[in-house]
Amino acid sequence: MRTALGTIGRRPALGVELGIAATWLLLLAAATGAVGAAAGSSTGGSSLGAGSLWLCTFGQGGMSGMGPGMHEARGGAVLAGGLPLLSGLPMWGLMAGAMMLPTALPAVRHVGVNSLYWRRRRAMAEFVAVYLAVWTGFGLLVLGPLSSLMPTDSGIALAAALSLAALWQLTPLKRRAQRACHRARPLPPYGWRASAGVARFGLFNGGACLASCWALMLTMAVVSSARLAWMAVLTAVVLIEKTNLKPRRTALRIATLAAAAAEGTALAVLLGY
Amino acid sequence: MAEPFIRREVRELPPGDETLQAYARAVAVMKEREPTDPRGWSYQAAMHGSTVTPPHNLWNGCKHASWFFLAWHRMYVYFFEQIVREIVIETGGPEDWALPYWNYCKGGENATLPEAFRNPDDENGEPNPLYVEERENGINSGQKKLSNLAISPTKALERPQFIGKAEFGGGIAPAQPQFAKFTGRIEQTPHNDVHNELGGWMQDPFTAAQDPIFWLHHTNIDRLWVEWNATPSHLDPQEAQWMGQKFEFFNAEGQLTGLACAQVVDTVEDLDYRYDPEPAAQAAPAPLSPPPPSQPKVVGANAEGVTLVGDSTGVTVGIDPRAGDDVLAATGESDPRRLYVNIEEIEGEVNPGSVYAVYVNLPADANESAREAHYVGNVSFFGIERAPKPSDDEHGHSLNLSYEIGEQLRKLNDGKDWSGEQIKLSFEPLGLEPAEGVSGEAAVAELAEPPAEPPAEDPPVQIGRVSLVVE
Repeated sequence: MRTALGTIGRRPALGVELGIAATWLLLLAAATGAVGAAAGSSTGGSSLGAGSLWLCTFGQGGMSGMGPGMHEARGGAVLAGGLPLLSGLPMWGLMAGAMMLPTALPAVRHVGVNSLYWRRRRAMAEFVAVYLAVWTGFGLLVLGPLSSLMPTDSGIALAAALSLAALWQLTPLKRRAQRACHRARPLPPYGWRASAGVARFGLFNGGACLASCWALMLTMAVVSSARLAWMAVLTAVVLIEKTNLKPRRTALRIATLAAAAAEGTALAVLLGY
Repeated sequence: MAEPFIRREVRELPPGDETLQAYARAVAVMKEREPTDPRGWSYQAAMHGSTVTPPHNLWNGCKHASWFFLAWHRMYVYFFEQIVREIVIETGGPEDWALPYWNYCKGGENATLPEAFRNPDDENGEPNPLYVEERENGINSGQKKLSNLAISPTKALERPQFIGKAEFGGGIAPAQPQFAKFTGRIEQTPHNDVHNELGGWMQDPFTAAQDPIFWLHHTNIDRLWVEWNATPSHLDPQEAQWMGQKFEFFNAEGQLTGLACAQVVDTVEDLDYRYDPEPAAQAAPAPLSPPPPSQPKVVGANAEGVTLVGDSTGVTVGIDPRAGDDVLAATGESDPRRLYVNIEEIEGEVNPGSVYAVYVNLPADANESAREAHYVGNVSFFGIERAPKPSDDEHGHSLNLSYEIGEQLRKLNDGKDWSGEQIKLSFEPLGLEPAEGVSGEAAVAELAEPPAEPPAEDPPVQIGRVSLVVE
């Protein structure tokens, strides 16, 4: 018991870390299990079923590897990749948790360590809820109104999203958002003020994170194959960008990578791959 | 081995010594050099900080609010000294030339700006390269001296550890960016406070090194590091992350070179210079073992932020009833835990230049010796406008300060000054003091010309939170 408490003391955000790991395992299970599920039924009713479908092309080849049902489902409040809004939102939330929450762990720990000892877990949970709400709000936009603006061809959509991500990396707004990602907000100690302070920091940090990474995350909305691999790569990219001590240089390198990926994708579309 | 170069106190140079004249000549030569010449005045100053864009190689490199502060500035001054020495020799000056230091810590006349830096013109009527107009007027004229609490290194020299948010050298600069960086005690007082009280260019890290007095201020800070090291138990960091950290500079030939922190810990063995007189060990308290590694435990904080505008301000920090016993225990002599007061998330658009003395539980009628017992340390805001928006490629941060107050509270508690349910911090602005022998004249002048309007408030500085932490 004493050892367990000691471990918690040294790793105040252990619960959140385990939650992130569980989310990745769930997504992995959904992706691998979905291959069989997709073979039997391409219209899974539950959100996890839809998520399985959404992830089912993991490891199955290029952008032309989408299931036929996905193409048919396109239109209205449906993504280029094929997720209806209602069933897609929970999956988007899971994806945001898996991809973005790891990058927010320093902020979660900051909240834990700087809250009154007995209030640590509650404060961290409040922060995570607000942070994920910000990203889920973005998901609503992407899965809803923005989906109608996506190019119909998934290859072109991906090339456009990567180009947009590369361009965003170069803007002063991106630089400002990167700075804001590393700023804290005061955390009052007691009562509703404590919750409000944590919520304010969650909004501030989540907002800065969204302003910094929305364009990269948009890529996930248009990727139509190997989604779990894309998730892993983009998570690594965002993590490196957030933790590197030379933020501007890192942002420029990522812009170069994104531009090269956009060019490669566009070329693949032109050549008919 | 040849005698190392000797850095002497600026007011105790031997009769006929040419150190300052040679320095002035070299400054003039450096100012003539092209802005793109790494051995030029503006380039060297910009290596500390500059508002000019785009930045050249190694500009905006100064390390503040972390455990690299002392080592980076030791290297910076060392290479600058080499550049100046080469010019000194080329212009017929002494071959053993070394930068002097300004020991304002002695107080009295020593706390006034050295005379050689005050006069706009030299003895020949030519512009004095050591003079800059951009300083606080009273300081530049010699009418005012730095305040006693701003120049005192005592609190810093007493700290038993180099590393730590409330220790001598500052908090660990993490391998990954974090949300809080803690300024070390020596960096805060006297370093930051003296920067602030000198005013003008010295008040901003992006212009400070353009003032020739900057380098004598920093040799003094460097000397205080040697003085702290003179106590055998006062050890520099042994962590590979600190020892192996390399910083780049330009040498006297203008070539890129660099040193790691581990290569600058001994000024004589590593860098071939010493201070005169040799700094002696202070009568430090018995060395404390480092605190056991643990997560800090917040046991109290104020509910709302505080705004400082130049007046005396008080902050009450309530102690969480659930943690009251922890706090009392942590102030105990035998308890390994420590009690800290953290001043967090300090933000402001402009550095107001003020320096505040911070007191804990200060009674309204405290006499001078009681005030000393309640004195915690100073707060000032050198670099406040740059911390969140560094022009170098690094993450922004806010300023944070931490003071260990457990022992102090225990002593005050013995005198029944402390209830244990809350503490009160008082922020009292310091001000420049009249120089010796001019206090009467200054007072008369002030009476003769009363200010038409009450003094304006300082630009505001927000303190996000004051917290009590057991660690």
